[in-house]
Amino acid sequence: MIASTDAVVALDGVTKRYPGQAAPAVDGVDLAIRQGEFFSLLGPSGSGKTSCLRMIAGFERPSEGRVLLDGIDVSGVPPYRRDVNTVFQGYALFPHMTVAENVAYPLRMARRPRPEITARVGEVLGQVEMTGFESRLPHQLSGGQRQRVALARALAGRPRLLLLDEPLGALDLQLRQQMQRVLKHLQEQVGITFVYVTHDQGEALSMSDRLAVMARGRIEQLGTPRDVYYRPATPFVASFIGKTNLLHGSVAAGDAGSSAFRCADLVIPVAGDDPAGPATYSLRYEAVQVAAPPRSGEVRLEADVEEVVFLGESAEIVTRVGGVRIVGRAPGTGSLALGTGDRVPVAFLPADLVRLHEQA
Amino acid sequence: MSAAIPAPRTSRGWSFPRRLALVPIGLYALVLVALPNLLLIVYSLWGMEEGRLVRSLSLDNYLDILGSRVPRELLLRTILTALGAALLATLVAYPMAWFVVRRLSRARLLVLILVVVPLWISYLVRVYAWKIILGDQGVINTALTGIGVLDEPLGFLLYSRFAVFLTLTYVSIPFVFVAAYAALERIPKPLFEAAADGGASPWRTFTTVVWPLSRQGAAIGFALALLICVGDYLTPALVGGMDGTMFGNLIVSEFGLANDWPRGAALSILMLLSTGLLLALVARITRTEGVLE
Ligand SMILES: Nc1ncnc2c1ncn2[C@@H]1O[C@H](COP(=O)(O)OP(=O)(O)O)[C@@H](O)[C@H]1O
Ligand SMILES: [Mg+2]
Repeated sequence: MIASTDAVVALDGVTKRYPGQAAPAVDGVDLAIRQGEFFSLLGPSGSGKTSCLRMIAGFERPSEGRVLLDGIDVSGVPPYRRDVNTVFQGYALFPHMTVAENVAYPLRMARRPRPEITARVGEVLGQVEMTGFESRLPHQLSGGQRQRVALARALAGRPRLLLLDEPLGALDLQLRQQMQRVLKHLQEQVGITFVYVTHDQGEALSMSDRLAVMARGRIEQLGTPRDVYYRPATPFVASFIGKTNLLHGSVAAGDAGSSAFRCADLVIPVAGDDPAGPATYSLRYEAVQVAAPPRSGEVRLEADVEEVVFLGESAEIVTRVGGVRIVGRAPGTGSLALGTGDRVPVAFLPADLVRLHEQA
Repeated sequence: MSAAIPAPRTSRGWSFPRRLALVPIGLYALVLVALPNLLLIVYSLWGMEEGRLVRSLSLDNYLDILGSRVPRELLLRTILTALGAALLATLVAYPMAWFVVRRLSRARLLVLILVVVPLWISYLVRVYAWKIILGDQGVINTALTGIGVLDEPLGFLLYSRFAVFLTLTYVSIPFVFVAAYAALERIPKPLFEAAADGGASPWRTFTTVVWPLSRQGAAIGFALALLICVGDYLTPALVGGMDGTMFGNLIVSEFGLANDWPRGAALSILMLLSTGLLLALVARITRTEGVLE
């Protein structure tokens, strides 16, 4: 069902059921990842990301469907015969081998000549900036350094495909941001296809070419970071990525090709081609301006401030308008004058309202 | 296990409560380990004349023992038998432990219990069981003659070196199994996947990851088995007959029947030295660097 000829890896109707589990961990996933792409699987814990990755690597077999590498069904191929390498969540470095031996491992298994191994190990250790650590043992390294060695080991054999399972999960914030840049830079440099698993939306948005948002074993939405952020397909995606107001109501056709969305006591004009009927719209916090000067074409409403949450550079203003709770953003300095009970204008552009598909 | 951070030690040494905690260990080592061995060494340097202890130091006992053929050959044979039995036990128990760790999940506890249960049964009973299995009227011979494979029972099964070897192997298996199991169980499972991910077949995963990370455990099991086998005098006494006599029996008879304690002590020291040498060699060969977390 997928044109998988140009895909490095494709999942074709893949379902995974673990024994003793009522719900499938992965439920009918279709996916095609292109050559050279940085692709992320994003979703909350338990949404089936790791299971997908493990099926691609060959550690698990799909209960249904096929996994294709370069268009070839690899269902019966053991992990050690797949041209795929993994950066494991806990790094899984061999504790009895030095850094150099760890990195050389895939090359040794591929029986490369010794001079080639030495040269290649030096090269990848340079790429991850770990030159000089060759003879250390893993327990003599910090978390960030182990992470780099694990990455070097996975890259050493120049795989067609690199799988990364929450590789930065165990690092502190600063190191994580630094490693994000290292990873992205490296991926562009070596041109290897990355499949990156994370539950951190910021990470997925900033690094990916495309991403799939997963929930309960299914793909909720697949697209570029901008697609997923600005045009979320479902309420789940809208609320999982970024912060958003979910407005429930119904759309009714007005006169002269216009439509209106009615939500509690609010009536908001929407695009004329929005089909009539019950509807949910997403409105991002940052699309809602509080106590800002008017712009042309915006929807402007009078609201009561219920709460001001100061976040530093910005603040979230919780307001109530005609029985609807709407949260907006204001610059941190601008929020100082606001307090509970104030009456303020809230405003947004109709284009920022995104109609969502209701979930089954 | 956590990383190999050495115990916090200041330049002035360990703190007072820590030092206090060392007192019972020190006492234990002194009273139960150092003193008896010291005594043994001293005894081995004394002599006997006309049934009476002579308290003058000399190496005569050693020279005498090493100069005569019988104890020398017996020591060699004992060590070879013990080495063989410990090795065979390791060859059986280690793969068994590996199989249990990798392949069994629900049946694991059952197998563990089955292997360890013999340890709860008296040593004597376990060795005696082999008499029942190997004897002329034993299980094997009765079965073989019963189905007509043999006309006469196999005589060499019991009261022979073979019987000693077999029984020692059997007795050693649980020890090696437990040591190997503990070591194999500790290897983090993701390492197996990391090896497969790096392109290692199951066999190469074993040789490059599993064995290096568990051979110390296997060596501890092997060493335990070796110690048990080298010093055992009950097994040869029960199933060995004349042929199956071991060095331990010689020591027992010097301390007992012959009542020549100095010679018995010298024999003991010789056995200790040769086993110690062997164990050092084993530890040397199976050393692995790195720390499991
Ligand atoms: N080996 C397993 N046996 C049984 N259930 C599993 C196993 N691995 C994962 N699961 C279950 O499958 C679901 C998806 O897990 P996983 O793929 O690890 O999700 P994620 O990586 O997104 O957190 C979870 O409910 C988890 O409990
Ligand atoms: Mg996971």
